[in-house]
Amino acid sequence: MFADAWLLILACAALVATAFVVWRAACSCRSPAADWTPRELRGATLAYVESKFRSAGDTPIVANVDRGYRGHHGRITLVELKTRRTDRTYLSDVIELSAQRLALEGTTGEQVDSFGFVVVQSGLRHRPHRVRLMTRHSTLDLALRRASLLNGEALPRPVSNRKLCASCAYRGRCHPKG
Amino acid sequence: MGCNSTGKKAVSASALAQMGVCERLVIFEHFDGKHPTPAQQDALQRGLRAHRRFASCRTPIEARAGPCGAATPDFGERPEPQVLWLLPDRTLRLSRAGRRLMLTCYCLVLSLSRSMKRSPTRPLVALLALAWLAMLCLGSLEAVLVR
Repeated sequence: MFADAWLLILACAALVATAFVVWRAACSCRSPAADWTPRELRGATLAYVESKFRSAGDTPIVANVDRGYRGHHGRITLVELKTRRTDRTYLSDVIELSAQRLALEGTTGEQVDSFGFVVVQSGLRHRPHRVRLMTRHSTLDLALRRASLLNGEALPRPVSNRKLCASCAYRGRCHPKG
Repeated sequence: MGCNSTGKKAVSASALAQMGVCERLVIFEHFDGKHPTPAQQDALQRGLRAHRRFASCRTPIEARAGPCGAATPDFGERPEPQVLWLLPDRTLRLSRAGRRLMLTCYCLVLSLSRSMKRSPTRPLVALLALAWLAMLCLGSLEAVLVR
């Protein structure tokens, strides 16, 4: 009789443990961070996750695509994740997605949408921002400008937002007077 | 960055994105390397962790509408993950309760897969313990019913 009681207690413990595991899994599915999908991507298929691409040509570009979704029309829509305190996008995000588009198109030959999404994670919240990508010509021009800067053929433009200098490791060399 | 078979140096998308931050920084970092501050290093680690979660986790909509996220990282673009979804696609997805069951199973498998990546033995031990408890449960039920 005593052994049976112990067996029943153990059985109940097993049931409670299983219920807890299932409940945790169900809760993680319903967490607010789980569903950030914008309307444009609903029904699209996830085609690429953390995939690396490399375009050919005179100015090859390599890119690591966070996510690429194939829509009903067959084109790929790019999604990039950023973790930030402020829920906003920057020009660098647009450049990065545009470069990813060139690399993906160059590698796979697939058509990529002229817009993409930057999903900004601030805290537990994920919010998608729709951004318009640069044209292929502008992206390649930017890559050429970068090459000419590194070759010393062009002079760098001053930073557009001086607040960025506050956290820059090269501040002392860039602005010797502080 | 790297060279391809023709010897041309490729520029990475993230390096190109730096052009939108500061052109002087691009030059400094190219010649002297990156020198992130402790706060920037923390932010980088935070970003890497978020990217790992983002790559492995799918939204409920994707769980209903795509191939298996737990199997895809292991099998890549091969057909195995698609085959795994054939049965639930044809049976469970037709009803709302079935979709909920699929989603719950999906999350369980995903957390198991993540756990196995961290430590391959831990989930095995947990499964064995659960199986042992289930056998105890059945044994005790049988004993109660016989009496």
